[in-house]
Amino acid sequence: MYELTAPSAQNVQKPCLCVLVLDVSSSMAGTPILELNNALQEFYHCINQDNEAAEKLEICLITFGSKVKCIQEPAKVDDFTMPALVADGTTKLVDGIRLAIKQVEHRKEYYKKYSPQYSRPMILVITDGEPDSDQDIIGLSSQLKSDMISKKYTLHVIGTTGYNYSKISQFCPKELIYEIGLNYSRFFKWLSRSTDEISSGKSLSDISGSDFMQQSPIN
Amino acid sequence: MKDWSYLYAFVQGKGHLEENSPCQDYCNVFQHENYTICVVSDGAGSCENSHIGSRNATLSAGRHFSVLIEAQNWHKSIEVPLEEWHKIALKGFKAIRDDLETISIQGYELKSLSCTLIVTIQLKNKLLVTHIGDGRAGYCNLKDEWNAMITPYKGSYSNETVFITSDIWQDETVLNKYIESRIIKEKIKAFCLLTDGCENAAFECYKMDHEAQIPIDVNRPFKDFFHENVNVHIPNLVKAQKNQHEIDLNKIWESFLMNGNDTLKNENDDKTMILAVKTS
Repeated sequence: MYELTAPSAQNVQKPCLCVLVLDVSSSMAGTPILELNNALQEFYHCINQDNEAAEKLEICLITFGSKVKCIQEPAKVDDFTMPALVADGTTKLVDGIRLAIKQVEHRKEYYKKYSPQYSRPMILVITDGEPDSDQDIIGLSSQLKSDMISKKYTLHVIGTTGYNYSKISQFCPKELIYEIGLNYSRFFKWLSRSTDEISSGKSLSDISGSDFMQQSPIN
Repeated sequence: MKDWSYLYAFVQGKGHLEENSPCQDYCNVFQHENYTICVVSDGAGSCENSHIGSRNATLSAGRHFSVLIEAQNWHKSIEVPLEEWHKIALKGFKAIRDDLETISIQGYELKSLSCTLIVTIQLKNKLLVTHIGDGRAGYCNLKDEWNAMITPYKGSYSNETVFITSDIWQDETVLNKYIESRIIKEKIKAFCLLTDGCENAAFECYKMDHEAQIPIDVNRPFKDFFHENVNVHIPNLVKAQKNQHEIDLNKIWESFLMNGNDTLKNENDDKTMILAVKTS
């Protein structure tokens, strides 16, 4: 039997930005913030163990309470340590998403300067509540609609126990809202192996292992 | 081309093997008396009938380019002006697209047949190449130097490209953005055409730019991937084949694309490659 073999070229992975927009309002105090912190550590560990993911994934962390902060600029897991979050304040959720969109635009400009290829950035919003009453839900809704059409990024809202589906669905298309209860750990483990598919625009419910996530109640 | 050997195969990637879904790639080699046409096609991953599209587009390319080349008498002439070749390439692709439209009338939506195409016409002293979409193609000169012969069209994001079924046929200016044609006039000893499922193994694509800390596409055939096969193993197989009729070069090639190294073995995308080698 004749067999051919050949050494392979060594190519690096194309960059893929993952922006996590995390609710740290006071309602997250206690078990939820503990669960979230543990899950973030596990996520970090899973990415770090996976050479391919560690090479391509750039993680950006944004928190929203009474204030919105980018606590980690886009970076690979080799270049930062996962911080511990503290719950406090109200829910500037809309401002958090807007900051995430700005981070995506900024990073895409950087990629475009050097590289012809990068994966579609993804924004994942995790919340147990609803935006403060002074948040511009209508403005965000119209921006998300237009950005989704032009495929600027993928965005999903992951509701945890206590989130207000009807408020969230006023700015986010229903098919992009999922509920995970208190399954933070399971969600982040699943996320660590699903970034390629999320970035490709696949529906989360079509990605293997996503059966623990409920597509929102009204659907 | 009598003194050349053509190894060609298309195989499912790991993803399609696990899902038991069809290979969406296709390829073929059409050998004529004074010229050879090689075609590879990659069906769009997101389109349900793209495996039918890639197969039909490949066979259609073999027919149309043969008629066009012979009408120009290029298989017998010395000069082929690049501008003329590009015009013929556009004509060929339009005819293939129209064939797909005919299939779409029979029940398949045109967009569901989306696929890319790379076509080479190997003439006595030159190689004509044209393509729409992504994938890679390269050649090896007599100094054993490998060079790329197309620049893949990539959309804004990875895995996005343009297809023969895309809405690009309104005018020539738009087409020129998406369809690239070249003529290789150097003397060559081998050339390759491949879909993007093979690019991570066979091409240097993404190298880290140390200043920017993100990858840039260098688009260069990886010499070590081809060198031994082109210079030693394939010529030996061809010699052995002449004595033992049971050697099936394309079966060996298919097995190579499945398992030839860890990158090929672990690739999720379907893999297709034509390798043409001067063997006598």
